[in-house]
Amino acid sequence: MSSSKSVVVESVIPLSAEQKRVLSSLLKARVGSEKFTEKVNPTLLGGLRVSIGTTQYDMSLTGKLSQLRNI
Amino acid sequence: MKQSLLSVLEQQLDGLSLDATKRSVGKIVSFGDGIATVDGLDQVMSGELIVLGKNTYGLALNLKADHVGVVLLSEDRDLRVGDTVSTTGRLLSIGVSDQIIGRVVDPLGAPLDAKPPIKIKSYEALEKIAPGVITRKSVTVPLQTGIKAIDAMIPIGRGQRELIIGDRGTGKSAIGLGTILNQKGQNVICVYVAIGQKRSFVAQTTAVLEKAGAMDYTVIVSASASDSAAMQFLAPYAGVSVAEFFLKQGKDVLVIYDDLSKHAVAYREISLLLRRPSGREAYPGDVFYLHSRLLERACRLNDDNGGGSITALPIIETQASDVSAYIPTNVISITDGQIYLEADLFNAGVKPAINVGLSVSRVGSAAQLKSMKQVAGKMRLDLAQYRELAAFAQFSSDLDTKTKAQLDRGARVATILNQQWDEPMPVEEQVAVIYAASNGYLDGIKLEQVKKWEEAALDYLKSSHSSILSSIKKEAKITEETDKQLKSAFATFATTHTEWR
Repeated sequence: MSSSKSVVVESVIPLSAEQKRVLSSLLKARVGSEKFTEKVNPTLLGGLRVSIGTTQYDMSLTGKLSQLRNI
Repeated sequence: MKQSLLSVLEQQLDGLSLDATKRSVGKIVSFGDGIATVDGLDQVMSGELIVLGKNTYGLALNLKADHVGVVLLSEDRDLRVGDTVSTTGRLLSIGVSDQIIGRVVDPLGAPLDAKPPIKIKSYEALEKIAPGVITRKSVTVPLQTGIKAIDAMIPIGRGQRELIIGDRGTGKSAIGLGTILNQKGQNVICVYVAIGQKRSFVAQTTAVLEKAGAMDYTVIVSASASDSAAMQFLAPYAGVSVAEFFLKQGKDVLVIYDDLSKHAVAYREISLLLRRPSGREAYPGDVFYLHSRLLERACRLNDDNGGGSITALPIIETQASDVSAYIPTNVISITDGQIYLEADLFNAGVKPAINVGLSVSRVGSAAQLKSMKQVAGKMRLDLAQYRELAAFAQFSSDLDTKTKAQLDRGARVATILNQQWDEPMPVEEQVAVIYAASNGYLDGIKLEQVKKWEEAALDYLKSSHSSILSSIKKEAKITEETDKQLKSAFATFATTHTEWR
């Protein structure tokens, strides 16, 4: 089930080889597959945003800033 | 200057922890008519708030196997197919605090009256389960509307739901607004929910309430005709959620829904766009539940649960006086009675155009001041006899004296019930006036002069016999002593004023 989910990692600048290695091992333990697609997204301002299937983990600066707005 | 700004910012940011968030995301597959069909959103809750684009919010209302139907809460021209949308983890709620009193807000709590945003003390969920049976108490405290016909013959209690039903232009909103005006000093907070109304009407209403000083205890929740159907659908729930905030504090609240017919139409629009199956008159199958879950939240709580109450006055507009249409029959079966307004009466000059025969209050005299109960019984009888004989009124010169006397008495009692919508009358004055009418003090007065008589008599009582009025209000009963005093006061008044005979 989880191996059919596509994993997309968005970052502000391209990830270094070391960062990519850590990510793969984490994903393998978590999701079961270590393959992921990288995307460079300058609007994040900082941090990472990882989407596993339809679940998105937002650790970006933009995400934190938008939490400051309340509705 | 700079330092204080920094310290303010530091204060606000103090104690905030911004962790990584986990959300469900999806992609817009199709978009139009205020509905976005979204693929993904696997962990979405029913009715959850979805954020699309930058500032656009939507409600996930249709959870299907392969897509989610999201109803947009506001227009957004920047959304495109393929955009990513995400959940917020929150069900729809409105931020409330004591500061909301006197404000005009939209169903999400955003201010509409050009004043600063409301400081939020707590979030009240829009969809809540109504209080259980054990937590409730029966309705015994009256809610005075200030309208003689209603307070005397169709009395409303705090915690009751009373429907105001009639054609367009018969004075339904006027009864609601008049009731709000009469709550001055009665310790009742009022919430007026305007659903699908013209913005000019909401502006006018706000101005009228402000002028009368009613905004000191009133909140207006408005989703006007040009707002999205979703906002109009949410407005009544936002109104009752605001009321529940005050109910929790043990206060009495009055909520007026103006009107639920437009609410049902907005819900029908959303349901049809979401491709839900339609039933009678194209309304969705759960249109009864739409209104029953709203009106069941009006209640009176027992002392263990705070002792507060929410009284609901829903308004329904009928087409051509058809009370057996789908939505009117639904709401009639939910509420504890109805006030039936007729266009014929309105055109004949009876204002408020209440048809006393067809109107009922299922709580009745349990929620009526004893003094009012004493005088209203006789008045009701007089009016009923008058209505029976009304057909013979045209032949009044050919009738026997007894019938003629009944007709005259009935006509005067009916005329004394006429009232301007923005002139609510305190209950002690109502009791005095109805006492006079039922006991024949109006019998010699010309019909056109009855109003003048009423004004003058009340002035006289307020100036020379204010003790009678205050004792009616205090004792809540007409004692023998008060009865004697009233008789002598009216007798004196009759002898000094003969100009209206």
